[in-house]
Amino acid sequence: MIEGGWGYVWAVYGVSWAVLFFYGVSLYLRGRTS
Amino acid sequence: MSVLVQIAWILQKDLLIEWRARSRMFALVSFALTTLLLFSFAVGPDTKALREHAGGYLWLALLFSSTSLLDRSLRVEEESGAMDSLLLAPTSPTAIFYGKALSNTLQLVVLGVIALPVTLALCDATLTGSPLVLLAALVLGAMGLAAPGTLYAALTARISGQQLLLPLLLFPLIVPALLAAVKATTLVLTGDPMEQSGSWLVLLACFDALYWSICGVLFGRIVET
Amino acid sequence: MKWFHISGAVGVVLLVIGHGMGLFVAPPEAMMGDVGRILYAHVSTAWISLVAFLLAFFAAIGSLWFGRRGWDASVVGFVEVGVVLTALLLFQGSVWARPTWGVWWTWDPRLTTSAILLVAFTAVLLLRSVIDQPDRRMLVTSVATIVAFVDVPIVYMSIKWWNSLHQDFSSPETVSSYMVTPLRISAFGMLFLMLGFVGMRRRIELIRLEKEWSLQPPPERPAALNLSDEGTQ
Repeated sequence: MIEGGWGYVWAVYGVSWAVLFFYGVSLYLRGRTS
Repeated sequence: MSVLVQIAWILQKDLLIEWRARSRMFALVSFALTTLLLFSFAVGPDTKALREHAGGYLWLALLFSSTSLLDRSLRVEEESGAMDSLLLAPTSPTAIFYGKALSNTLQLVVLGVIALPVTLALCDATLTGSPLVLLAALVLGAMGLAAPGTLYAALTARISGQQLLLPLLLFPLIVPALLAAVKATTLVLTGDPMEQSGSWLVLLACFDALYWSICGVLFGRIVET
Repeated sequence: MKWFHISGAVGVVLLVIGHGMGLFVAPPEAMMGDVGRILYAHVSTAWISLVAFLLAFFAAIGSLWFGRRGWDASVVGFVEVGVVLTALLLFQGSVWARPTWGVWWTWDPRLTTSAILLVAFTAVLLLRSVIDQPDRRMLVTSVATIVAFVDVPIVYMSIKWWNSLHQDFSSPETVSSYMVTPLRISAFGMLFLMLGFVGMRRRIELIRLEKEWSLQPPPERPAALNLSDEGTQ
């Protein structure tokens, strides 16, 4: 069994949420100006 | 005029146009050969790697050359509104597609036949397997490139960024055909102890069957607007 | 507040629950340990990216069949969100591969098919962006989307066959029951969020298309009675 590796886990979850958040925000902003 | 006759007519017309502009074909051949040369330079003196991947280099050279070839086959119709005249004749757009796709296939096969001995020489490879299997791989692989290629050339025909868009659209699509063709070719060149080339050729044939039918159907919608 | 806003909100809530359970409640994976928790984010993203492209495929058929703006806008929505999710899943997969397989990338059928998907559908969006004529643009987008999608299973199978000749890397095929629940919740969360994003993107595209249509010059009146006497003498 692989020990530890939480760095990888946080990297994945952090980036995932960031991407989803910023994409959502970009959609919201594009929706407002058009 | 029946559709088959139309297809034959379009095929003949396209091949005649290309024959009359033979110099362009020479340029294409030079391009393919130069690409092969560059691959062997990039790999360097590693003869084992060169021999094992000769099939891959051949097909990559063909793929890169195909872009210019496919683009030309549709651009020819743009000049003086030839496409519109064809459609008004009336020619079935499906016939135009199959005629052009066949013409492109033939040209790619010719290109392949010319590039093959050069590849063998540069990579110090030999024809271990049957030349018939090799020919089958060449023809089926060329068909796999030509059908989606002709469709996409028509899609991107009037767009200014076509030089970049055509390869960008086409390359992801033909990965299965490329893989199968490279695999079959490599097996013929380096030896096929487990008789796998047959199954790769079958995959290629299925891919071709699927795409030659789908692209034929969709082509009509593209050129009619 | 439209349906897709609600869908998006529900999606976010479900994702928080699913990821929370996966990160803190579920047991570590048998062989991968805590790194295995990436499963909940990655697998759900992968499933839903494929769902997005599948729906894009159906929308493209609808676009070709009905020829109306709404369908065209739907294609754009599903393809764009699909591209975002695919890019994300490639990153997730790569980071997951590092501690488990020892490499950032490998010739795995799923990773490679996803990379090809990303390029193919990005090309569809690029293609769309350079065509001005609305009818042609809709046609081209639909055709490119249909062809790209039909290719997906073939690409996957052919890489799988190629791969089977080489060493095959193992990956979690069977998931233990303790892990199924957070995975399912994450998957549904991703689904609702995807639909929310698609709804927003579709609405933006629809507004853009309608504005474009209204700005078009009025159709030329056919020359009916030519009552002027210019050029007759």
